[in-house]
Amino acid sequence: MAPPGPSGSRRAVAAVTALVVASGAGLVALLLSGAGPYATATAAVLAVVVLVVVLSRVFGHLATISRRLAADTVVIADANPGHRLDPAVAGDLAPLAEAVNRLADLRQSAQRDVQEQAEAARRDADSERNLLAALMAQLTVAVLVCNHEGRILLYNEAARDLLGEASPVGIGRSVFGVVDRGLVTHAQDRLASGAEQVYTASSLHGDRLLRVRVTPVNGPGAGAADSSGFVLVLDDLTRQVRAGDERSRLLRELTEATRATLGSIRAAAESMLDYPTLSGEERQAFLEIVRDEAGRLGDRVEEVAAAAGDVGEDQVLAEIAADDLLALLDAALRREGVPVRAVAAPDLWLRVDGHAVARAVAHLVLRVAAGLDGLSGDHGDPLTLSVEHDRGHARLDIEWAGAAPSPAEVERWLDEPLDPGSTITARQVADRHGGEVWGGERATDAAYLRVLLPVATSGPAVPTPRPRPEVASRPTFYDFDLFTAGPQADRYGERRLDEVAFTVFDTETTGLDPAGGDRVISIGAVRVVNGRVLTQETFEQLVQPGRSVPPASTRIHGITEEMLEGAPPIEDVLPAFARFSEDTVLVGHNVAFDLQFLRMAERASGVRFAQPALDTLFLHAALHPDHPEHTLEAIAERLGVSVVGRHTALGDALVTAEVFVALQSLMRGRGVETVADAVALARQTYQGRR
Amino acid sequence: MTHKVLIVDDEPNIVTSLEFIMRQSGFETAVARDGQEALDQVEAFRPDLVLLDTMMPRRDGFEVCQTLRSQGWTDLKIVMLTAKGRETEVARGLSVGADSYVKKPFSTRDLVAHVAALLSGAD
Repeated sequence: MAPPGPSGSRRAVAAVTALVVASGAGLVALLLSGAGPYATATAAVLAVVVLVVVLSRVFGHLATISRRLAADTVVIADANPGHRLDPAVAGDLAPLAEAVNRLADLRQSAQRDVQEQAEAARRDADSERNLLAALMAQLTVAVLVCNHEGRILLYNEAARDLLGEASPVGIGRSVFGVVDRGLVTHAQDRLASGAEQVYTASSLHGDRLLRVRVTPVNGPGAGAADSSGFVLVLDDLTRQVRAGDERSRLLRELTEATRATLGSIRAAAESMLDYPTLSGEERQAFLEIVRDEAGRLGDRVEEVAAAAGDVGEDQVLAEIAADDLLALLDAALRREGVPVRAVAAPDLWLRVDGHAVARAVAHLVLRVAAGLDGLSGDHGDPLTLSVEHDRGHARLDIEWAGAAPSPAEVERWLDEPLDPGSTITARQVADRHGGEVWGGERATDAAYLRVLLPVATSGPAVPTPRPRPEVASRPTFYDFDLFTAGPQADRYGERRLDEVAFTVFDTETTGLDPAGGDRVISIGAVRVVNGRVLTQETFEQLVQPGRSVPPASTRIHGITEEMLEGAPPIEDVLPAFARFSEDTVLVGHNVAFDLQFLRMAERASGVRFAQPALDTLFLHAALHPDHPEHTLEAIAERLGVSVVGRHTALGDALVTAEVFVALQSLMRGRGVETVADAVALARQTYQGRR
Repeated sequence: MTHKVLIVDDEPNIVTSLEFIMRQSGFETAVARDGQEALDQVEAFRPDLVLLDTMMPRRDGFEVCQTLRSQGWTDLKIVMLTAKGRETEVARGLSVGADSYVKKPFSTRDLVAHVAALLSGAD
């Protein structure tokens, strides 16, 4: 519908008058001419219909104009103070539009004064924060600061370098994507009990072994129990531990080979000495044994000596109380829905990597549990875990009613990776600790899986931090407002919009028809947290579509087939994007279009985007039903968002993100507070359009 | 009565010596080269004592020991021989039913004395 011209309403009023006059005159003429009653009635009805149609158009148009003016006024009030009403489209309401604009001018200048004062105050606060940021950047250890629910408020470059792309670190992200939840909650429990201020443990992270130190940030109260958050300091022990593993292996091989060889030599020699009645032939055989075995031993020693050159310093293990180890295990198993009864001998300390051992044992328990029926049954916990002293070792038993696993089965469990993305196995963990694992059967239909571990003999291990290369880059990315964020609701729906992290994304494709073979060739995304577009936390990846790129689409996005050479396929890109967007609500402009393409590749990529998605197009249409244009450009302009780099996936994602932030404040003005509210708002228009 | 000793080891050189000294000490001997053969030989040869190496192909010594005990060979003496000798391995061997655990290299004289003591206790 084209908007009517400036004097449209006046013209329409004139037309109505003319029509009324004309039809009135016709009616009079008909009555006077003595025409039949039928013709007279027809004429009367006609005249009334014309009148109604014309009047409703005039007043309907007026209503549309006032709704648009009202919507634009709300934009000035809530989103873009620089926005102004256009008196030219206001028609008869032009003076009102001008008055509103004048009010807006006054408000803007008043706001500027307040802003300047606020600016000065913030500069002081900023300089303090920058000092902290600079300090963090200088630290060579990885530091993460989280609020009480584990959302990251601050991190440094060293943390990002250490944790890498496998688990993205970002403001507002859950730290449990990076560090095992059980480890942190375990540490928190210990802190809450007031036992220590600092806790040291280590954690598997993909293929890496990290030592994590957890320190509480004190809240309003004095004790650790009131902590408003915690600081994690991470050390990478992988290299040390690998070196330790390798050294242990070499040493073990050498020892074993030596014992075997010496055994043969000694037995042969003693046989010759102790049994003088030996025949010449027998004596000859023994001498040959001595010679061959001695030769073998020499070769072996040379081999080990050559390999030993690569081995570095020893591993660092922490001490852990048996009941703490069981607490870690219990937490891990509860998360997996496997209840156990745990019994630990008092005052038994183990010198182990508690977290790694817990993960390995949890793995074994899960394997055992998988073979049992009715785990969630009513007859109590079918599995018992116990740790006890046993001839100078700690004996950890997993016991259950049922058949024992075969040795081959146990061997297989030991060689399985503990995590999908990891190469670490329970056997490696056992070997690193000099542990032994085997299964067996007790007398009556009772089986066990036993893990023997070393007990602690000396005092606590002294941590020896590994020097890291100097990290020269600055800052750190922080948002202390998250410290005050309320408890996180489990489901997105109930979460407040200002507490949820968003991934605003866009895709470029080979065309518009995914079912007809069109594919994604680029994904761009940026995170929005706490009403801020985090421009340092972006995702940008070209995707090999496995098909040609039509020149017509290249004109839009500028991506050619040559540019896509060597780009990874969607099956590789989607999991990375899923990690990037983990625990966030997705946002896009006309997001259903992009989601359609992503959904098609979900199965092949082994990921699922189960979180809700918000559409800026529908949100804008719901907030401004009377604006005809809902293109990204039009919305951006109205909301005062500058448009740069359009039609690259990341460029569009950034514009959409700014638009979304502006829409968020408009939504607040409308009482839209939670994710569910926003979804419902967008759905209104979506359904209205269908 | 002559006691029977089954020697289980995949290292031919140690087997040669073990077989020799056991015979010289008046025991009847048989040899198995791996874990599976050991289980078969226990059935066929009916030894009084098994000298059982821990590291062998197919079934290792721990498994053989555990299997024998679970099959009801409770009177059979089992002496585990190993080049390993980590404390946890010794503990494992004893807890799966071995009567004793001897680390390589060992003194043949001590081994003979040890075997003789175990067997005399059995009488």
